[in-house]
Amino acid sequence: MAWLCSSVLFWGFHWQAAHCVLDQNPENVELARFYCFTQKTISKRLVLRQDPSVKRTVCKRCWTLLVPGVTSTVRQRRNGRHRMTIVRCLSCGLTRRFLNNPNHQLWVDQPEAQLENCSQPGGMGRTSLLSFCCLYCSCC
Amino acid sequence: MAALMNEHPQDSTMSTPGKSAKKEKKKPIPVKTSLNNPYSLRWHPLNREDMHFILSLLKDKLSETGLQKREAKDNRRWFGKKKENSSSKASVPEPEQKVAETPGGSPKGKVEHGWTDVALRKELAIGINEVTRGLERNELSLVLVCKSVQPAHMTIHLIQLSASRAVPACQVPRLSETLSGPLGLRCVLALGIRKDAVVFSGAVGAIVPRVPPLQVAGASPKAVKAAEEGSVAPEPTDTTGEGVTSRKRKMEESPSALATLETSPIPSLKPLKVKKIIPNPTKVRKPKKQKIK
Repeated sequence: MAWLCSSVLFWGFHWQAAHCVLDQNPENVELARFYCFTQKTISKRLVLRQDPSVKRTVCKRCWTLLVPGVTSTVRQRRNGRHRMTIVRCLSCGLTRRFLNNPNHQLWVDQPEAQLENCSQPGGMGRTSLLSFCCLYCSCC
Repeated sequence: MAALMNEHPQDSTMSTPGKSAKKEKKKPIPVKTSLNNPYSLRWHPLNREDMHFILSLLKDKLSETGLQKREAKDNRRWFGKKKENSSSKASVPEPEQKVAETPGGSPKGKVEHGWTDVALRKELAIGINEVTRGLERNELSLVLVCKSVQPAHMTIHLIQLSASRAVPACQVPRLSETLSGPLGLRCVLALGIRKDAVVFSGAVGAIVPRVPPLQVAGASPKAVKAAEEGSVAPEPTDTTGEGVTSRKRKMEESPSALATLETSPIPSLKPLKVKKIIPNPTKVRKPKKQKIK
């Protein structure tokens, strides 16, 4: 359990370190990219689920931390009837499109998805062990 | 016995249906732990008084200056051309009569297409794309965003952008409702005032003290300024003497940039945010391919 908790903390450290690196020196994109790559590898090896707010800020192709105005550009475009928010990575040119649907909400952001709002008891398994570790180390 | 088993296969597998039903009830829901972003990107709430002040000030300023976008209404109809032809023939003598009746009057129906004051329009950045471009080029002195934006991811990038460029920005409720009418637009989701604005400079001076400060981790203005200073290279020189001085300038600049970086405080690590989530029951899953034995 201890190793699982430490790796989650390690994941969190790399994520915040990438932000701090770009905060200190916006030209040092390579180091931020390394941190994001390591963070993604950790989550892949341990099968950790990342929130969309974390996943959407890392480029899928080159693992650059996408900061608007520094490493990425954000534009509103229209494709026929559909209006989209397009995020483009300045390093590799990869574009991500998000449809501007006012009625759409991510499942993660919906109140029904939260375990606290659910009436039935939660299950025991590897994921809950992870949550138990996080509670134990008071990192959340 | 085998025949009996074959006739009632269900009974052989589910000898006690009551127990299986109990097992299904006891089966717990799997919980997923999702690692969340520790940095929260949120606009600071604006006071009601400040909101009314900003909206009234901008509305009065726009009505004073008379800045408006005029659009000529095109009565095009892609269907019913026959009706148009018949109606056009009938309407042709009518305007002639009207013109004859008013000999001194100007021909009606011609509306100038475009903005009333182009110079004034250049002082403003209207629209999300224009505000984003203005912030990227460090041309804006103030950014106002409408709160009624849906979905929120359309304008959330402006928080980090304006924080990195140290531009005061705030989310104003009913901005689009209030300003779209005077400007003659359908909606105004983001509005920016440029640094070289003359007419709106007074409004900027009045609004900026009322705007709450933006504090975003990972977007400090000092680092961006230092990077810009470092990236602006001195002019290329042909003579060796001037080349030596340009190298000296570079050496002088870099320690200053380093000094600014060193003096900036090291940010502390924030605790992890973990969300416990139930899997989505309505998720569309691909049907598993059944292997044909």
